Amino acid sequence: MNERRRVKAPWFARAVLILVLLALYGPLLVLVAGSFLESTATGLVVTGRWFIEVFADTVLGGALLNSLIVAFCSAVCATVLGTGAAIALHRGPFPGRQVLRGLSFVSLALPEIVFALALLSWFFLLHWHLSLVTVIAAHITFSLSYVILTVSARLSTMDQSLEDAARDLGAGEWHLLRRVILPLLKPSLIAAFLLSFLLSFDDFLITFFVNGVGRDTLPIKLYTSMKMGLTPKLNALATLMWLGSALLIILAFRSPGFRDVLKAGEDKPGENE
Amino acid sequence: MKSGVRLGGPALAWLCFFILAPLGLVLLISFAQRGIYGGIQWDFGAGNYSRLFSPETLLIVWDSLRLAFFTAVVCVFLGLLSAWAMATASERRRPWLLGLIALPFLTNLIIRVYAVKSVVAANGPLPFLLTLLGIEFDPFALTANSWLVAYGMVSSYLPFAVLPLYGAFEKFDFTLVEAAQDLGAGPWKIFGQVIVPALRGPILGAFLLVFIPCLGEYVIPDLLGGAKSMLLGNLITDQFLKARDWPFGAAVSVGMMGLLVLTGLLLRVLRRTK
Amino acid sequence: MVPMMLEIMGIRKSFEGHAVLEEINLRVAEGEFFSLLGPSGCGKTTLLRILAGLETATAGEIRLDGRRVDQLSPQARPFNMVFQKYALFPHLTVKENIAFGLKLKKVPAAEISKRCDRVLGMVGLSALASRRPETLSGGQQQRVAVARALVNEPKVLLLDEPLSALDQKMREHMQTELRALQKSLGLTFIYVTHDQEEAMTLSDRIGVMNRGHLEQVSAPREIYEQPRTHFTAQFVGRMSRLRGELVSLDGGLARLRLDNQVEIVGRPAAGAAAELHTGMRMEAFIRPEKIQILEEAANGGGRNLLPGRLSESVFKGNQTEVHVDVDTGGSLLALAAATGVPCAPGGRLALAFSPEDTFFFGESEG
Repeated sequence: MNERRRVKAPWFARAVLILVLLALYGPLLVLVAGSFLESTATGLVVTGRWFIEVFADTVLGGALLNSLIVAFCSAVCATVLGTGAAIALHRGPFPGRQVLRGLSFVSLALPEIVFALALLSWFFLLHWHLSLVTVIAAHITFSLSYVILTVSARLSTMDQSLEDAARDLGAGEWHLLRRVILPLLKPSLIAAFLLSFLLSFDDFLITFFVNGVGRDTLPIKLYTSMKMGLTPKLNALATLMWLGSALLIILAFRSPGFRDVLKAGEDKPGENE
Repeated sequence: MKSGVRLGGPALAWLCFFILAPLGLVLLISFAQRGIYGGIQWDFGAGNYSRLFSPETLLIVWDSLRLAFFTAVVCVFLGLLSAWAMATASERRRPWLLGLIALPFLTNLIIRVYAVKSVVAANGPLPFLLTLLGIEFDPFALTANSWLVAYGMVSSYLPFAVLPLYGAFEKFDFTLVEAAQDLGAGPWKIFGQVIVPALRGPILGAFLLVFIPCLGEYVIPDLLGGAKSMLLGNLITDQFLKARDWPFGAAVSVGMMGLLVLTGLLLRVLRRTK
Repeated sequence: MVPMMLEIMGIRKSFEGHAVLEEINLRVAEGEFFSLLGPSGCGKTTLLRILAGLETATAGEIRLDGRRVDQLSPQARPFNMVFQKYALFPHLTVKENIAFGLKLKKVPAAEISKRCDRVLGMVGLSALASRRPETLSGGQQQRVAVARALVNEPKVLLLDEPLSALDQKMREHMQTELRALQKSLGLTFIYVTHDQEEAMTLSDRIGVMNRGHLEQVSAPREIYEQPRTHFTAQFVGRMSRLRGELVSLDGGLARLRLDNQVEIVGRPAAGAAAELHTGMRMEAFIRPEKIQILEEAANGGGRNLLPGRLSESVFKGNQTEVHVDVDTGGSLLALAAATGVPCAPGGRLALAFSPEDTFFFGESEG
């Protein structure tokens, strides 16, 4: 917005930025380095054997599969539900609009742990057997608000007169949605899907609570193994997981839909209320 | 109207079923009693809430508040300075910096904690460095202590503060800085008397954004703090997954949310009053 | 009398209790280029959107060829709209944009293509059919927007400030083009604008709007030369004005006493004859170009004559603006040929203007 020349921040601000980046990335570099090193009698040598071990591990393969199933299913459902909700919210009043808005805000602000134990109690009360299904349901729920946020950001920048033009040219509700709104939302739908996928793929705590026995996702696997102690093989696993999500993040970042969220999402904390 | 219901209805129903109902249930459970075998006995009373005020629990609440407050303040302070530097970087560099901050933010928490742990692990670089320098240390205390928890908390939640503050700087009118410079203000003066007052709202927002998840954080203290550090997150988790005292765990959660709402209201008042 | 095709009867609109349009009555003839002119917020766009069916009126009727259309959905109305910022679908090509409405009406593909090609030719964009809207210039986008509306063969074309996003040169060019298109198709245009010059240039008739009601509906020339309300007089074109008190009314003419007892003669507002009474405060409006600049001692020759002192002259190229502080108080603007300024600032002169060109309106009603 303000594209005039900006006065450079003073040295201490820039120094803090560099320190912050070091603090964020230093440990990650140690982690990655650890996955490539093996200590032998002669000292440290570079090796790829930890990665080979990870790939050979069928238990980890199963966990990866679980993670992917959960992430994919929950991202698809959350994107569909959330997009509908965002469009409905954008359109104007309907019964339950305020409730929808309020609940999507609550789910963003709710401490993870409270959400996790609330779902656990709820599933217990309903006598739902804990399984990947309960995990997927939980992931859909927390992704939903992010989808609504992403899609709403795009909708709010969309020229209202495009909708008017479509109606003027004879589009009814269905055609308006299919021929105009959804095609225009495409970038943010992709971004919302990627974001949901990522959130689900990375989630630990909620999965930890509502997960069925023996159907661990990768983060759960990493957590329980880590409790036993750190091994180079775990380093390799963590490195791979990190690269995987980094790839997704970069994908998401490159999609234009994501920029709308950053732009709009950043305003939120300062402007709500 | 009708299309609103058709499009928004499913999500509304979903959130009612998976957020509203479970939260209501937690509230209900918090007034129930623990069954003999760890189940829930539906005899209602406020007994769990009076247990919140026992000295042990209060100590945990106090420790958690302290940690969350410390983390939020440090994150906001560092975040503000970093965001300032990011927003005034060259236009070509800005998206990169933004990406660099956002990447760990979106990286799995367990991986980040694992990374921190691998620095201090027995065969990690820190013990190696300390040995090299001839500094004596307790290898067990090194892998799990409250400093590590603080570091883990701050580095995990920093992006929560940087990203919204960066957004605020994007809209900030930098001619104010020029004007202050012109009037003879040094960089610290500018920071304290121009930037902080102008970004008051976003700063308080960023504080809350860090404070909320920190108060109930479970993973970081659990993995980096060792057995010694008991915080709200562990307390709640233990009631649900180990002690099987759900009613008490529910009461602690409700109490914690009460604390959060209180903090939110306090900040709102702070934001209004000059 | 030309048969009236579009009738707007008693249209009202209020948003949350706040009246945006009050009692709009208007009849537009077939093939007419009709402009709604007014400042922003006067309700002209709302009226246009009500015609298009994008908003519903709180009360009133719209008839087309005697048939009510205001209860029809936008898609069922034989009206199409050209939007202010074109509202071209960014995910569709130029041709797909134009075909949008026809496709929805399930027109056979071959015919869609034929009709699209025809309008593309009409607006001179045949070569750009497969481009995306964002790769076009403002003027080209504008033409696509017009073509997209025209291809549906509407009975009435509604245009909402269609040229406001273009630069001055392009705007003038597009004005000519739009006018030619309208004439050759014989199509009824309802054109919303806040630009009075544009309205003057293009329209057969203009409806001047202010605060949700129509002030005056007339041909451009009449709007300019015979403003009927205070608002129209001061909104359209430039006016020099004087204040005074009505002393006598005599047929079509009235006499106004200015502050230092000097009297001028002029025509009281056509709209308000019944409410006039002697002693009331009024304002006199005179077009600057109708004021003649004379030497101080000159004879007005039956016209109003006010002596004064030249306060400032501003060179404007083809003419010079002359600001004169008249002795009766107040400042009048007159126009002189570039070379015709009679004296230097501070010099004395006199201004003459005929009663025919002097309009009286009740003070500050607008």
